[in-house]
Amino acid sequence: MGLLEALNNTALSIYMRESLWGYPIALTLHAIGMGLLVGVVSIMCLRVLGMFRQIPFSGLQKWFPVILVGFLVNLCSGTLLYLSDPVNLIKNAAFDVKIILVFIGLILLLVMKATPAFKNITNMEPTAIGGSSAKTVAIISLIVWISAITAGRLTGYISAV
Amino acid sequence: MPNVVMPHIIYAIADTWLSHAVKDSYWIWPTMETMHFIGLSLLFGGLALADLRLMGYMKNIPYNTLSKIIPLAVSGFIVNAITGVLFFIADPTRYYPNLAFRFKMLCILLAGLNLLFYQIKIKPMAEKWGPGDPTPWVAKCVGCASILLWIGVITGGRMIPFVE
Repeated sequence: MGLLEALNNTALSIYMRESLWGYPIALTLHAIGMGLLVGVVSIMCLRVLGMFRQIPFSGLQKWFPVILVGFLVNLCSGTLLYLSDPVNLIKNAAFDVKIILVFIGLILLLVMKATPAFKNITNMEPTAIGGSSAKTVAIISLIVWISAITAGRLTGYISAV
Repeated sequence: MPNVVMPHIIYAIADTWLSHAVKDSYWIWPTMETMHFIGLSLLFGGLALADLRLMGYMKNIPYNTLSKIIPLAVSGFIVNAITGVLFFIADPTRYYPNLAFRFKMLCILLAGLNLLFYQIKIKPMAEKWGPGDPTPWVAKCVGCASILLWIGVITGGRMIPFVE
């Protein structure tokens, strides 16, 4: 725990605890980034599963930069929020589960990008849907992101107890 | 904020059976919060895609196909309106005087008016846009205003506990 305690005493960590605006601003950015990341990934999964078939499949390519923006906002804001209480958050089971789920969700997104439907994305029929591998990844992704949000919400309740 | 004079109805709401039921339950509040966040993601993520296209991003996707997402975003809003009203009913004396809450409601109202303008002015225009077509400046403004107003809604909501 020596490392986490050292982290806890860094200027940034103290700033996130004691400043008036540091924590609320990071928290707000985290909700905005979540909306972009989880919202766009979920809608992409639904498109892969067959909803919104009017949207050309190749168009999904353009959604990845939007997802990346959401991810980067949340990586930065999430790191800052974590720094506000690094020792106790690690001990918070809901927080640990959330981090693992986010990690799995991001890996699943890369796995989805590697499925035949996405490897072939520019040549897909406009109304195409994902093959069985992309669809499977899409269903698991939706469950993982919903679970990640749930665990994230519960983090506050467990630390408050 | 004990110095704020609240209309009688605020206290009446706090006294209802529903208010007590939500407030006294151990699980209803966190469950609704989780639903509120999932609704937020569908609403903000869905609208962001349509708004970015209005602003001229992803021109190769025909706008009329991307706009099919809007009903899903609206369903996210409905989830959030229901859970949001229940939050208010459970704790009206907390929310009513809260400035962040009022800012959030104002932004929702303005976002609604922006959507109304979109339905009347932009949507009929958008029927004719094909893939690759640039969007007129008025559509860019509506898309930009939508994203900024929903960022305002999220910001107001997150700030509620910090301005009490």
